Amino acid sequence: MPETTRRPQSAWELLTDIVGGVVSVIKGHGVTLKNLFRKKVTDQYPYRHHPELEWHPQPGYRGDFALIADAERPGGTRCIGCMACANTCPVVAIHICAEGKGKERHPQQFYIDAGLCMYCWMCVEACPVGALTMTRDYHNVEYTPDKLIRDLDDLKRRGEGIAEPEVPVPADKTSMASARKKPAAE
Amino acid sequence: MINFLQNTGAALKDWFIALLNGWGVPDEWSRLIGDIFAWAIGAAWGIIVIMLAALVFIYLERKVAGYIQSRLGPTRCGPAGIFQSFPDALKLLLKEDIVPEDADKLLHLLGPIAFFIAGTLAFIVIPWDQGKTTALGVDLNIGVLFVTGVGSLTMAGIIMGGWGSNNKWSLLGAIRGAAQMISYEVPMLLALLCIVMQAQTMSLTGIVENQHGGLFSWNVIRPWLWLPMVLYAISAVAEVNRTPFDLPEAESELVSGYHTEYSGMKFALFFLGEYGNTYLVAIIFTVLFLGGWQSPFGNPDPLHLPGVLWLLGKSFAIVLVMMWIRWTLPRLRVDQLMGLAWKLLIPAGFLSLAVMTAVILLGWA
Repeated sequence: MPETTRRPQSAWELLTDIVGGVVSVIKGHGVTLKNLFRKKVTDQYPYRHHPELEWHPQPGYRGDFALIADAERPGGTRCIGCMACANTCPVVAIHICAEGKGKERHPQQFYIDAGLCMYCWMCVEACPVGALTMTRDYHNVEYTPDKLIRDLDDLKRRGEGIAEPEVPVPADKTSMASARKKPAAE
Repeated sequence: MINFLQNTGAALKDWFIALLNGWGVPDEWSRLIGDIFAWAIGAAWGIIVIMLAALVFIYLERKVAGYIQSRLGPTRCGPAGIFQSFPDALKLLLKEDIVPEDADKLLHLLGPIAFFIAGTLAFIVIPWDQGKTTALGVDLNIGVLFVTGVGSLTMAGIIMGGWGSNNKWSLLGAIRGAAQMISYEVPMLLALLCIVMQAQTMSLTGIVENQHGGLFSWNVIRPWLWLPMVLYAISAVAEVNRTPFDLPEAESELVSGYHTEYSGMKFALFFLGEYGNTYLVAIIFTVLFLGGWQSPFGNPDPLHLPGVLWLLGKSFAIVLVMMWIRWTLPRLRVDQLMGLAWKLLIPAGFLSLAVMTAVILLGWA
């Protein structure tokens, strides 16, 4: 038991104690009442998403995938079906079926499993024609895993309006892209 | 139809007796069976009221808790989540009923039943409307005594559940519950005594009729009853084990107190009993201080609303205030809890009793 050397409370101290306690209880109820009618902070994402709470990622954000449209070939993409992205993908999330020879080679089917993808950016770097990119769109949540597989139409739709692939920013020494673009010349 | 709604018990009893007579049952027999039928309806009424009130209050509780914490509360089940209680109730019904291996099986079973019955019994004497108590229950001339006596029986259920679970947390919760209820019975009874002295009757109907004549003749307006009102409010919250007096089921200390070892329907009975008790003390507060079924605009009611609507509206407001208190104040320590009851509320109860006596002697009441 700890030593109790406390002076006994006088009647006046007891009274001020009680009054102070009552006042603080009433103040506390005022605080909760104010909160009761305050605007709620909950964002019911994705059902009632507040536009002002939309987050705008920095350039270079690794979001959902897109195939950039070919300016010379309406409805087509820049992709030449070279399989570089599919071959480099560490988790084998990309599957392509392409037809044609040389410059006429274009993908008939293009699947990226966003559920399998680990967003390592290697496919984007591997692309020799700058066709495949990741957008800044992060609303890529689905109810079932099979809906996470993006097909050619999805990729084309997301690619609309995108002129050039995303560039990782800042392009510093940690980025493989900058390391490759600036060889040992320096 | 209006008669049926306002006097359900009597109307159903008349219909049942007529039905039995139509089947050729002798008159005395059909009258006896009709009486039993009416008692059954009176009992069912209490249970139905508790069930419905619990469904509404669980939703309100979660919504109020969310709003006070700047959240939204339930939103997914129906518009603004108003149907949330139904899947919750269904889930409770479907859950497995687990009895601990070394538990006292009989006590473990009887605990929640005793708790629920004790909570339900007091609804018998509630005066729902003018002259309508007898239809759904009885107007006892010791109504106040009955309510407090039966209300403290819930403690038996808590002790049985806590002891029968064979779990130290349950037992500690039950012991705390018993100590708390015994302590807070005293200031509550002292407060009730002041009301009884004011109304010169122990019948709840009599107490309501004593506040006849609009807002300004309610007990809440009489200054010498303000102290008893505060005492009753505090000890009523303590009596139904709600925060800040929820020591018997303190989650952070005792897991979940006396209902730690309960699941499924037995837990639901504890839960229902708790909400039933909460609603009961809100109704009793309304009856004692806010004029019961009477309209605040004087008698007869200029709005011609049925008295039961006034009673329900007032008691719902009181329940909302109790929720407000619950989500504002933190839990008391055990010694603070006991100190509040014995060092503050009971002396204040005696003081208010003295004031009340003086008021009666001076002839102001």
